[in-house]
Amino acid sequence: MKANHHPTSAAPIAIIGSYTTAFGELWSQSLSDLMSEAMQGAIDAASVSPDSIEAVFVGNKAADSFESQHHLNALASSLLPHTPPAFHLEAACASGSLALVTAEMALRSSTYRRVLVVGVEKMSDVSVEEATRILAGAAHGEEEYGSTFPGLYALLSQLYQAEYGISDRVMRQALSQVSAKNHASAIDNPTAQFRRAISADQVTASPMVAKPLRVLDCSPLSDGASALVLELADQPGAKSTSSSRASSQVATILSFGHAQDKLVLAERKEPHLLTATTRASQQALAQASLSLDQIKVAEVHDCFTIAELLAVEDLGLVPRGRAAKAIAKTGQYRSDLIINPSGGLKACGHPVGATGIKQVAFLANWLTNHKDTPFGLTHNVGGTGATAIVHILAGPAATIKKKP
Amino acid sequence: MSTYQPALAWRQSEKNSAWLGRRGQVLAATLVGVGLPDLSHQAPYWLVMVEFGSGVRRLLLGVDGESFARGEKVEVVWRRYGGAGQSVIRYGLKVKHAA
Repeated sequence: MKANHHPTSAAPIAIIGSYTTAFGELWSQSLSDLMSEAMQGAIDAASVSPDSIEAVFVGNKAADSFESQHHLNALASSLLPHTPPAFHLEAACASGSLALVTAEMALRSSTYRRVLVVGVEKMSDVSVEEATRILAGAAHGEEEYGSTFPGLYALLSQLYQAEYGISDRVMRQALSQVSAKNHASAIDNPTAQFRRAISADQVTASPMVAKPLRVLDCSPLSDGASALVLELADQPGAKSTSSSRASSQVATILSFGHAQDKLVLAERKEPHLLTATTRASQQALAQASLSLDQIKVAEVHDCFTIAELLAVEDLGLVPRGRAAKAIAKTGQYRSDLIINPSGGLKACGHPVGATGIKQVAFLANWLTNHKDTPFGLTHNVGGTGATAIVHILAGPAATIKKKP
Repeated sequence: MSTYQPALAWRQSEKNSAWLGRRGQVLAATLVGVGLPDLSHQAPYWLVMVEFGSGVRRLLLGVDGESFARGEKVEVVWRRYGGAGQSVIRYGLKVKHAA
């Protein structure tokens, strides 16, 4: 299928502005400061008036626990002078993407014509133990009592390894290569938390957290926010149709896929597979009328290094059971596939409510700067895969037309 | 901060009693270094995914003093979770190696 004049079954959504704050331990910035910086930054990038924002959608996992701050929709609305209608969405680490999906539906239903989506998390004001407890709230409180997310993903890693008969040595090489690869990518990302290279050997030598996962297999606790200004592409009066900023100059969201699985990991039919990811990917690709072989770049949810291996397989980008062996041997999955050019959650940081928005903001800019790559994919997971949301983006190189 | 309350203990006892004495096989197990604050006095502790047959699986804590690995036979037992100083001392299900 040719990239130009690509038909989609849903109206494309133009990303007319985006902004991501620095990610890290940002002691001088509050939750509200981070939201405000991201929102204003996205509005400035879009070159629109703040009062043209008709609604705000906020993705956040746990400001109530981290910061004792409820009522986030009102907080976000208060950051704009005209206090537009605002909505707060929560789906654990997929909160940002759920907010984005909701905003897309609002645009496509013509409820609003221009919206702002902001994802935010402020995590560094509590101890590591308290953060561990708060994050564990994304698992089932009774059926998975005592579990932590490093522990749950360690179990997933062992299940994957056993299913495909992968040796401890190869598995360790694979996990370490994922981390080293993503750190190398983050060096060029100005908002990343860790802009420094680490070697696979350093990952292997880092302290054990939950076997086989080591400290440098884990994404960090982070503060940060990311925001997008969106409108339907090519609508009369829309910014993206104006002469100064035609849709051929901005990235667009072609489609999303959203799927769920059992919240309790042990209750899933095949617990070594994140099947919600597979279903979300298939939905998104079908909606965009694209095939997997047209996806050459993806931002995937690598909250732990094992999560990236699972993601590329469950998305269908790499055959099942092959990802670990491929990256252990060569440092990549395929020569024509770029995974996590931002540095991923591992090296960018993972302010959980912001991550899904950051992925889209980063990929939109990446596609704009890589004219030879028309399409890309983002993949955002809640918990151990109970929520999975996939977005397909088109860069300016792909001219999109809605199917008649 | 512990969120454990007497009413929750009573509700869980209804469910937990059906699991006591059940035997299964370890599918995966990991030793958690930094655990939940309620369990910090027990850290490091084992998280064990157990297959009980017919596709029934459950994630359980391992008893103190034992190590767990894939393929081992285990049995569900009743053990203390809570530590000194908590307003309600929590008990619950764990697994130990089956005799």
